Amino acid sequence: MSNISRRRILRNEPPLLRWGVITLACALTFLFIVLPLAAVFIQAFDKGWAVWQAAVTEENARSAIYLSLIVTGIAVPLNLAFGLAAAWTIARFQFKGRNVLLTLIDIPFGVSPVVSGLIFVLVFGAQGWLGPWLSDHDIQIIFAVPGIVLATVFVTFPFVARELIPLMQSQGADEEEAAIVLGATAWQMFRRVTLPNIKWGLLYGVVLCTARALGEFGAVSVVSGHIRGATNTIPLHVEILYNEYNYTAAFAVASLLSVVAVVTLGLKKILEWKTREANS
Amino acid sequence: MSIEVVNIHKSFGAFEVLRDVSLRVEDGELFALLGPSGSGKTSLLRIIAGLELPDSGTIRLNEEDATKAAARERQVGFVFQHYALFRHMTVFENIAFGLRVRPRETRPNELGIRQKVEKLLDLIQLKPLGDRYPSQLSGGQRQRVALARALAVEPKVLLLDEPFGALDARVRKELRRWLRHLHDELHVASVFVTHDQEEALEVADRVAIMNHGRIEQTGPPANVYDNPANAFVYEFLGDVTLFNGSYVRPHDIEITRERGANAAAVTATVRFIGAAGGVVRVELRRDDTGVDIEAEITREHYRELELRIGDYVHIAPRHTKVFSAQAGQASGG
Repeated sequence: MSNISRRRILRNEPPLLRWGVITLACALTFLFIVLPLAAVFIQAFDKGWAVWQAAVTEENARSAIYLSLIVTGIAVPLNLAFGLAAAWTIARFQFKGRNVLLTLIDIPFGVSPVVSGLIFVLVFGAQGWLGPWLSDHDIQIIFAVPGIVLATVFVTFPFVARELIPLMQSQGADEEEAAIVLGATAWQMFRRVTLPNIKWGLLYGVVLCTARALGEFGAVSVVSGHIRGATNTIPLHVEILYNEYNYTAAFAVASLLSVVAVVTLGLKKILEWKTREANS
Repeated sequence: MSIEVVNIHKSFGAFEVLRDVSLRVEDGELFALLGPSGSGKTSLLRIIAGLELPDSGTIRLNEEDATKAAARERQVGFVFQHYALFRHMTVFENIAFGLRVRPRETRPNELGIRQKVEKLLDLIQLKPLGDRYPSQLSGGQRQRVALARALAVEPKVLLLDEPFGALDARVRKELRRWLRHLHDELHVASVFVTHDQEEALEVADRVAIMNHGRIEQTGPPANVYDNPANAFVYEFLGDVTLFNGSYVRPHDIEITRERGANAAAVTATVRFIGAAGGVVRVELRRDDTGVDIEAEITREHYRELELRIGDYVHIAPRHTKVFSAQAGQASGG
């Protein structure tokens, strides 16, 4: 009802206003999204293909790309497992503290990434709670790869769980119960019924999680220590190059992240469509 | 194989879903759990299946204590209210599921599975639809697939939750007759849950009427209909109208033009006539108390009386039931 009436009101708007609003929306999108993205690629290839190639294959850049891939390679599977477990717990069981858990999962989205990084410094840093114990045992977390992994896991934690919870809630437990009554073990139920039903949603969460893990700047910046060739990820490397007025190189490396963004967007669209199709 | 439920209690938080429920379903019997929504009938079915655990009490399947047995070990066939077909599997794979998840020692080979599934597809008259997906089937077809899937594992008992609830009236009638015949061929103990008294009374061998987590009465359909244990059962099993504080079925209200011998007769005005259908529904208002009363008369009688809205008639109950509020005991009148 409300949908119909709203549409009717829109149709009654003067055409001038309607086209005005549409033009404004398109102009803003172009100005703030399309133009900057194009600028990244124009700048990146400003001095030609060879310079771009040199900038992204140079030793520190390679190390940054390598580190980003390692961190993502650890963070995404971990959050895939955490997200599945959390979504399962919340969607399938009624228990005290369920809403608290639901809120806790969202904390990384609500907290500024810089604060997330600081939390880890406070806990694992030299002056932090666990600092003395860690240095006694010769374990370095802050200003080292483990800290970067922890910060990334924290920041990207909600993606998979957030995607799966509403999906699993809307699908209900009926099919899983049917599988159990038909004699399936818990693992058979998960493999043959749960997983096929949530696979597109799960992939969607993984894609978003991966994009964020590769691109995370704030939290990683706080815990990394910016050691060139050792604790710099791609975004941190871009920042360093930029601060050194090495614009072309900065944009060249940034163009890699932009490609990831565009690919993510494409995958996201496809997966959204697949999820909807699977649930229709 | 028999089902025995002994002194089952179940609460969800402060809400008591089942209070001291006991019943026994014999081998080959088709048993209906009938009650309004929230009466605990679905919870009882889920407890028998092992999908829910009772707070106390015992479940015996085939005379063996199954209270602690996991759902997957109970060899129970369960048909869910909304079928719960595996949406990403074809009809064939849905039916084959229970065979495919068996441990290797008891799992039939691919040929065995194929033969079994095709036999079941034949049984449910859906042989050409084996490679369709559930979303491509009608409600009645889904229902039959759900049943075939449950039967594939050769269950000891068959449990059906509102098996016809989501279907339209015509398909419903067809399917419940089909289920009755199927049940007679299978020889299992079957329990189905329904809130539709007509369905329960038509299909089941015996009925248990549930209310507020308790079983109010158990017995063959004709028994519970003719000798209801209390007012709730009487009201739930059919339309009821109140006449001088006692319960009367609308078809037991007699309408006459002339004052008859019945001392209980009163005068009333015809307010509405529903003449579509096998019986004619007449709404009347008593002239003395102003209370509305519903009556059902045959078409023949309706033609004889030549009833019109606004007519004055005499009405009298043929049979009434009086239930004392406390004991819930019935006495004929």
